[in-house]
Amino acid sequence: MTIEHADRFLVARLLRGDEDAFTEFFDRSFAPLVRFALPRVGNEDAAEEVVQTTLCRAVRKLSSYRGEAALLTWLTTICRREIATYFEQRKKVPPMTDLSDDLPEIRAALESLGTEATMQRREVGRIVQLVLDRLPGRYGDALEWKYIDGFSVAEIAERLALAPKAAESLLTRARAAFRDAFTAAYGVNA
Amino acid sequence: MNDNENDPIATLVRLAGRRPALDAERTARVRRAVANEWRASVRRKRWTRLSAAAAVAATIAGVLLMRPRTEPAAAPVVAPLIATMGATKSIDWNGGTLRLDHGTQLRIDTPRTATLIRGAIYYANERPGAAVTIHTPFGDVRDVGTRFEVRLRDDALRVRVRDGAVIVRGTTARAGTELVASRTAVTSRTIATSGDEWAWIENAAPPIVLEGKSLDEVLRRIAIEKGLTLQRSGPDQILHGDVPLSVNEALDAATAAAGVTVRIEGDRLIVRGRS
Repeated sequence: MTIEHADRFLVARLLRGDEDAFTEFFDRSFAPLVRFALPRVGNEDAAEEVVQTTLCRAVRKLSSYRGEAALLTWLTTICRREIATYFEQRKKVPPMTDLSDDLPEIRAALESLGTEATMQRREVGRIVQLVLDRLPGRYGDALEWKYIDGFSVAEIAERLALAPKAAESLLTRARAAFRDAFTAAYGVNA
Repeated sequence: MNDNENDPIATLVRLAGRRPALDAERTARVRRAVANEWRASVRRKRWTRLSAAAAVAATIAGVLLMRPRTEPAAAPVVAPLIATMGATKSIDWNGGTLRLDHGTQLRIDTPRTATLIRGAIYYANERPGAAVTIHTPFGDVRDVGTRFEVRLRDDALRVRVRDGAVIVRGTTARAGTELVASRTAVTSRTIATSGDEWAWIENAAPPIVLEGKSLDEVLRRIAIEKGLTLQRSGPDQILHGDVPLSVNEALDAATAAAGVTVRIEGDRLIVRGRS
């Protein structure tokens, strides 16, 4: 099942009033949206406000989600508009932040870099976290457990309530998804 | 799987470090707000889908049976912060209903006290001895069994009383009174207790379910929500219908089912049997 197809299915369940679907929807989208909004609005209170508005608006117009892009991409588009509204209403100027994932010219510059050594470690780290946020299911968590926490496949399997074979398979898919997403979005081979 | 030092994916993920964890309290707060909005949206869609059928049936036999909707979520005994952005909200609090206008932030401090941080709230409680206090930067608003709105502006606090009385910095405001408290003074004037300025409160009202209620009971509730005095004649009757309705939907459904006519004149809701 493609991400968009899985997301369409999730939205269909949400429209039917499925509580489990809401939990999945919120758990999958809240943290990535906060991490998207935070550097753009500058503080946690504002990020909370913007993300809450985004999600409230999204659940009201779920029926307009066509599955042409991933659900998180759709939510991010709404969030971007809410951030603009946030600053317009307060007659404030958005903070100057380095938002390379948002600017095509910087994205192009990243693509031209080619080697990891020439990139700013912090910027690469932030991009990697954005990619992890956008991976489907628990892929991002699984990769963090594996490579940051050093968990074994058996430990990851236990956390995901999967058989070890299934966890191993999930990690393989997570790596492939990470490689594809990182390469597709930023043109840098992982 | 290769996760040694030369594995570029392992290197990148380690380089990035763990994604920052989010504050649990914030997460829970937003989850609650979004869940409420989502459930309300699902209910509205159900209502929209079924309203056409309900309208037809109402002309024949009154209000149709439809899927039930839950009453507004009860506020936790102590909730750190309730915020509304694009929508109004109604919650149960201290035996009454607490409504929040768009763009409001309210912190529930204790079961009987809350702090209005911004925006406007409306509190309605018919229960005697259940007084609440709303803290604001311009002073406390203490009710003595009433229905009132508190709106916080940059330069002042505005309190409008629909029923009963409230006390603001030692000044008592009774029904049909508006108090404006700035940093230096409290002024009052007489106001209407119905009309457009109160519309958001009606829109934020908890849903009305007709099933098993008398026509009189429903009309009284509608009159209260609209700030009107009910004036009606004719026999009472029991209504049916599990659909949660807005105030205007309930008025339409109840009067259609009972075969009565309704009109508003001044501050009166006049209901008469069809001749």
